[in-house]
Amino acid sequence: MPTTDEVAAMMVGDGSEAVDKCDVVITQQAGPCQRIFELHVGYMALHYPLLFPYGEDGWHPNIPLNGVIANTDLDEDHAKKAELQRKHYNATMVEFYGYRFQHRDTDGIALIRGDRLRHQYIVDAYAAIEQNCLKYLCLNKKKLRAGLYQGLQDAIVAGDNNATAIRIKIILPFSFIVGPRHMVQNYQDAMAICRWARCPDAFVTFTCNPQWLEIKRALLFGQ
Amino acid sequence: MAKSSYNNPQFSLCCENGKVLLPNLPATPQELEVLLTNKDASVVKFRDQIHMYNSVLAFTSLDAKVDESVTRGPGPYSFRIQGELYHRIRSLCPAEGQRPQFAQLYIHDTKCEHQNYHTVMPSLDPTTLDRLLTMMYNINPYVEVFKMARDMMVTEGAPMDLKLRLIAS
Repeated sequence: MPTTDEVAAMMVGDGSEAVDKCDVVITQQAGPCQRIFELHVGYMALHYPLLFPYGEDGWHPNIPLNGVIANTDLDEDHAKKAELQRKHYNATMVEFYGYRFQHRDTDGIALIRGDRLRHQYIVDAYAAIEQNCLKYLCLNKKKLRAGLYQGLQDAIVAGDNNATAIRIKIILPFSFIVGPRHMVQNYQDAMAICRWARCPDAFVTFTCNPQWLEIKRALLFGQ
Repeated sequence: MAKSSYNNPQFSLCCENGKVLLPNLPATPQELEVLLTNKDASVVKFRDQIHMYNSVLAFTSLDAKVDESVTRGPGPYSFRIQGELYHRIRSLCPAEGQRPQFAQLYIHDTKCEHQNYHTVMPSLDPTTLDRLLTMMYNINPYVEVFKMARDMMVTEGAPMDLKLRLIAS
């Protein structure tokens, strides 16, 4: 549970003091709205006070995984080594929200019983994860060798001699769900299965009925 | 999950087999627990309006480019946006001639009269809202912070360019 001195500080001055770039500085006099980033620890607690009445901490980039040393506690050599091995020592956003969405008897009930507010929270979390992922793709084009595709694109669009029309393109990798590459890959997989097992005779869709006894039994009282 | 198979299914979504371990969420305060679990008619109404109660008490507002063409269509309520979803927070004081909103309400509410809250959303039950506000004033660290900011602002000789910094991690 965060305490008051941990969540905020009062400042006087012209704002030239060095602050973390994700910190939010709210001015006294009316000014433009400030954006709170998904990386801010209070991102969810500030927006869902009924789900997090104690202002519980949300995701931030330095939550250590169980049984490993926090990245910030590593000395420089070890931090570099960890970076090279591409091991992640901190919980990712997906892991964090995946953990929080589960029902645990030891947890408070506000988050699990929040009804429509919980739905909104889940959608919000999804948007935060997606935004974070897209931002990563945007900032790591080099790592993902997007430059390679760029040349290919240029060749395909032969005859396009208007340089101003060429903009920076970000290619969504196949691992990005609902991206065109992901769709095409799924389609190709389905076709490959058909080639091996011949065309399907029936197409089965399965819907879940919330009135099912098995589901009702698993629900809590009044849920 | 590479190790999961048809004969030996494994579920790792919850905690990556123990790799993720977060602090427990503290027990929900009594007032809120009653509102979330009871079956009385008034309480059921609260659960119908929970998002309205939440937005009265919230510090930040949601902001996005909303596609209006799908919001009023038939079927379940859908919310389609283009571009990014923002959470925004306003300045400590409202602009000249404007009503206080969101976190500004906590600063504006000098005598804890809660009157401002009722004018923001008149359709909410005043007693329930009062109870929730009292709870917030008692336990929420962010409310405490805004209360502190308010106290500093009203003291005589306080500088005019006071800033509140919410620490990111």
